[in-house]
Order: sequence, then structure tokens, then C-alpha cells
Amino acid sequence: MNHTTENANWKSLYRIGAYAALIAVIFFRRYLAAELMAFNGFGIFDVPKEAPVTAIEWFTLLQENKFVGLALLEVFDLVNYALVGLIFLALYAALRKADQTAMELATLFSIVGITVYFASNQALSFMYLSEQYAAATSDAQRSLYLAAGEGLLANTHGTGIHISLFLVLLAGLLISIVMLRSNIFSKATAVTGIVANSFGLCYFILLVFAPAISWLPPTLSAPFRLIWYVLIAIKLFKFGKGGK
Amino acid sequence: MSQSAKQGSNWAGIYKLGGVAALGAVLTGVIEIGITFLPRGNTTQETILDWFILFQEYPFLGLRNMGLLNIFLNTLGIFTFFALYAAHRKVNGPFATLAMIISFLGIGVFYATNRAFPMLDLSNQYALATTEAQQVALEAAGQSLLVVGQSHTLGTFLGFFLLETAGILISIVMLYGGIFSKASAYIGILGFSVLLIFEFFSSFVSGLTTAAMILAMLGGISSMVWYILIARRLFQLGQSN
Repeated sequence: MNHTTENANWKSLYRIGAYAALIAVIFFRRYLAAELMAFNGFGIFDVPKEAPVTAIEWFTLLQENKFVGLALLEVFDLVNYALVGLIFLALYAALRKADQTAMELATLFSIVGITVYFASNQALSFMYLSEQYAAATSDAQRSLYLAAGEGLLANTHGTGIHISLFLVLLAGLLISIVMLRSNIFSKATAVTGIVANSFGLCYFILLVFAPAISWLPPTLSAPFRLIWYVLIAIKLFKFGKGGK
Repeated sequence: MSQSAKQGSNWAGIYKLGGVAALGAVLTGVIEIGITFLPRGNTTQETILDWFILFQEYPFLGLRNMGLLNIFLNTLGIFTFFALYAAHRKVNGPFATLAMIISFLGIGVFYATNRAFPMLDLSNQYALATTEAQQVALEAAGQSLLVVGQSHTLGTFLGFFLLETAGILISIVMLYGGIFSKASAYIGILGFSVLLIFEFFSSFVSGLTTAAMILAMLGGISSMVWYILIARRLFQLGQSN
């Protein structure tokens, strides 16, 4: 084996992980749909005051503004999850010698979580259905597409979406604990990760016992997660350059 | 047998399994082409009713048009991508692993979004429905399956996108790895890139049927040649290990 080439490959993976972390902070943050709603489309996009509820409302929004419709259907979370996969893979590379078993388990959780999320997100299917609805020529066809749309909407916040989030947060928590027990990342990075992912996991407890305030944990965890990603990106860039 | 010899023999088994799976993928491709030339092998279904009729008259063609052969192809892909990872684990472990993970993501998404058998079940229920209300409800249910599982539409885009990205990535790993020939790598890059472009066309652009079919043919043939070349090399690696 060529040791220099092998090292260069790991460094490339660190750099990819670092860029993925920055892109996940700047462009493709998780719950971008909630941000768009809360900040009125950042003054750029014409976002409705309340998210559509029925299939016909979604079809109308997608026909009027495809970008906003897809964003509110959380299509950009697909990119976020893919970026999280790249970040966690780079973290596996960085921390594999600190605790291989825990890192393998965390990577496995994240891969399963991402796969389940990709399979559960219905945004693109919904857009396809809205195009068929727009092209329909009879009331019978339109009724058919509306009924199919309601069926798809029921899946939009289904079990798969929740399970995938749970697995990815659990993986994040596990990685943060490995960070804390090793000296590879700073204590600040590890603690930020523990706080971000623990808050995130509290969502599932509130979802069962106090659903009215289940929005609170994701909101609290969001700033910590962004800081965590930035700290990870800084360290991964250092590894990518060959620094310790 | 020493520990390292035993390990070498295990990897040899993986290479051979990968080689068999790659040949299986070629066979699946040949069957797919053969079916296309059968009567009704190349028909398109416009409405959910057309699909239910196809499933009732020709259940196998209904299943095939909803991706039955792709289920086999993807299952074989698990062994092929794992064998390719095994072959490159020492020369480019990180990116061979990344390609394998992306392929497994694509396969997982494909399995989860495939609707061939639920559609068969629904078409059977439709055939037994006795009232118009039942038929309307089943048509709506069928439409919601179709929008997720109809091949080469937005519903199935993600699964194919991930698989073709994995194919391009592992071919790039092959190009620099020195284990497979440069020709294999280039054919892989070409084939999977063309298939990826086809997937974009068929999912996002309407009215380009002929152009999309040419891309599908070019990509399909290239990927079959790729599978033959990697099968040959994987068998050689299996022998020499």
C-alpha cells in the first residue's frame, strides 16, 4: 500500500466533511422550511403566512411558486441529510482510532437514518403529482389526484421521518461523547455536540407527553448544532491540511 | 491454514461472489432487453386504470414495468459494490467506502420506494370491487402508489440518482486504483454519467422521450460492458488471492 496516497485520500475525506459542514450551516440547514416561515422568506421569497394543510392548497402553492412549495415540503432536508452523512463519515475517519466500536455504531445509525429519510421524504413525488393535477382535463381525474395527494401528505410526517431524525441525533450524541473522551477535538466541540443532540432527542419525549410544546427542543438545539458544525469544519480543515 | 491465508481466502470468496453478481446484472439487462421486444413489452400506461388492466392481463409485465427486474439488479449491486470496495480497500479505502455507502443508500431507497407488489395487490382488489365507490377509492390509492414508485419519474429519482453517483465514484476510484483496467473505469464513468443524465431528463424534463431513450440505451449498454469487464477482473482477483 502506498502510505502517502492513503494519507492523501483521508485528507480529501476530511476536507469534504469540512465543506459539507459549512454548506450545512450556510445553505442547507435542517428545518429550513420552519426558518422560511418564521422569517417571512428572508424578504426574498414570497412565503405564505401559514403552511398549506390540504392537498389542493399544496398543489396551488407548487403551481404558483415551485421553489417555496418544495422548500416547505422540506426537499432541502434531503440535501441536509446527505451533508450530515459526509460530515459523519469524515468524523468516523478522524475518531476511528479513539473508539472504533462506538464510531462504527454511530456511522451505522446515521447511514440507516439517512436511508430511511431519503425513502420517507415525499417532496419530489408530491411535485410530480401536482404537475399531473395541473394537466388533468376532467373533474374525475382531479379528484383522483387530490385523493392521492392526501395519501402522500399523511406520509409527510410519518414514522420514517421521525425514526430517521432519532437515529441521526443518536449518532451525533454518540460521536460527541467519543469526542469528549478523546483529545482529538476540543472539549467545547464535544460539549456543544452533546447539548445540540440531547436537546434534539428531547423532541421525541415531548412529542409523546407534551406535543403542544414539541417545537421547543428543535428550536433550542438549532443554534448549538450550527456552532457544532462550524467547530467541526474548522478542525476537519486542519486535518485536511495535515495538522494534528 | 494461517490467519492471514484464511482472511485472503475469505476476500477471494467475496471477489468471486462480486463477479457472479456482476454477471447476474448483465443477464438481468439481457432479459430486460428481451422483454422489451416481446408483444406488449414496450407499452406505456397513461392512467391508473391502464396500469390495473396491465396487471390483470399480464401480471409479470405489470411487475416488470414497476421495477421488478431492478429489484434483482439492485440486490446483485450489493455484492458487486461490496466486492469493488474489498478490491480497493487498501489503495483508496475512504472513497471506496464512500462509494459503497452511497450505493447502499440508493439500494435502500429503491427497495423502500418500489411499489410493484402493492400495485399487483391493489389491481386484484380493483378487479374484485363491486361498487363505483370502491373502485374510485382503489384508483386513488393506486395513484398514490404510482406517484412514488413509477420508474424514472420524480418518485424514483433519488434511488437511481444515488446508485448512479455511486457507480461514477467507484469508477473514478478504479481509474486511480491500478487494480482494474483504465478502460473499465472510463466505461463505468461514461455509462453511469449517461444514465444519470437520462434520469434527470426523464424525471424533470417532459417531451424529450426520444433523446431520453437514446441516453438510456447508451448508458445501459455501457454499464453492461462495465459489468462484464469488472466480473472478469473480480474472478481473476478471486483466483490470485
